[in-house]
Amino acid sequence: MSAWAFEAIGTAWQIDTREPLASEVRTAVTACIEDFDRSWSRFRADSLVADIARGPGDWRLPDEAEWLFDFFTELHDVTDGAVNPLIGRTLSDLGYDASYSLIVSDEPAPVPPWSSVEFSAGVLTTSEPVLLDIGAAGKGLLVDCVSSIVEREVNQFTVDASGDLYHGGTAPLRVALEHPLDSSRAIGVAEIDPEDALCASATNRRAWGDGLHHVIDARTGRPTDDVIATWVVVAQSCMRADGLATAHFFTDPARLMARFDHQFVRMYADGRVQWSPDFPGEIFT
Amino acid sequence: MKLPAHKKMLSAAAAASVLLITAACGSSEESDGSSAPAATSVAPTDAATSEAPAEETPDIGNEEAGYADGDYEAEGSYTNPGGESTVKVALTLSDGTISEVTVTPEATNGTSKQYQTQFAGGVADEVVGKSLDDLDVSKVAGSSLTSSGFNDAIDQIKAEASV
Repeated sequence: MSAWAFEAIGTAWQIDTREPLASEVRTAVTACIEDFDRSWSRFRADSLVADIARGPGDWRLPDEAEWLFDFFTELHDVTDGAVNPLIGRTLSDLGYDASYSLIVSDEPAPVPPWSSVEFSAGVLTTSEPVLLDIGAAGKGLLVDCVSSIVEREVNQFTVDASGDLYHGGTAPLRVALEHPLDSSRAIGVAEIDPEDALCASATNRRAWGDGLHHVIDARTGRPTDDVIATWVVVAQSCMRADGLATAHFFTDPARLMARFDHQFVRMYADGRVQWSPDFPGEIFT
Repeated sequence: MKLPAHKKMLSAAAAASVLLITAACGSSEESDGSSAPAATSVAPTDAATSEAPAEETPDIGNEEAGYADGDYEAEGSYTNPGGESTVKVALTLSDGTISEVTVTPEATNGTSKQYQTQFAGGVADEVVGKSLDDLDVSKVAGSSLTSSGFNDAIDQIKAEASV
């Protein structure tokens, strides 16, 4: 087994393969991540997202925007507006900004309605400066992009972007579900099949103050506190697994189950754990 | 939009808690034993019939019990977009308190049945988990590890806060 570990888009990545990946594959992966970051990063001044935040206009977005925004619209609807990629300014005001000030401004900006922007034929039209934050599903999408590059070269691999993971190969993969309050423990194990994506989301690590973390309810503009960790398994799409892991912080699980084909585990602040009956794996009750 | 399954579980749980509450009232306030069980749909099953709760009430000697011991069953129904659904609540009273409750979904509609059973067994209180050292796994999935930038900022805040 060969593991290629690196840091990108603010987190740790690891790509496991049987043999080391050829250098041109690594170069393609690195370029793909750089392109993505250059478009979507809220944390760099030269990104497209940073441009969009400076003033209203018509913005041509990269191809992946189509899937991403269609999916965000679905998530927005099913969560009654809790998931909304226009939370960027609010997150920033709460301290999670480009310079990691981690200082809360006196009056964090409210979240503009998703309907206040228009996206059609690859062009985003904004009537005011908006700060996009695609964190709810963006990392999963990038894992999909990276996986599609690796997949062309090898058939046995796992792309793990620390919390968002896509498994390509022939054998199932066993993944521990880290206890959000004790990283030395697991609340269960997922056993995922080849071509499954598993995304984990928890409010413990990207947290910087009393009740302040990165999972924001767009309806209130404040961090959510009912659910503290979620895990979602989806076949074929890490983007969808990622977005649903976010949606599980806000929405009735049955509503999500009825609408999206997925399996989930979620942990509430009081320590209760709930999961879908066909979740592939075991919960340590 | 389909009725969320957990609402159904709540309906079932609510049905159970209604019975619990009436039983509790029985203990404290209905010591004269003159009241029939408050939930009118509650009917004693065969096992309990011999100690019929309502008719012979004056003789129920135990002043703490408003209801006779035995097994009871009740059905509750609710409407959802998929049609009418019912849940069956069965409970056992012993010494005036509920010793056992079972809630059984009885959906006839296919979709409802699926949702009613969807969460059966899928909830656990305070999962402590197992040590990662004891598990045979290839990966661990938790929240994303954060970048050095974020970690540095956190460290800085901690340092400032501790001065």
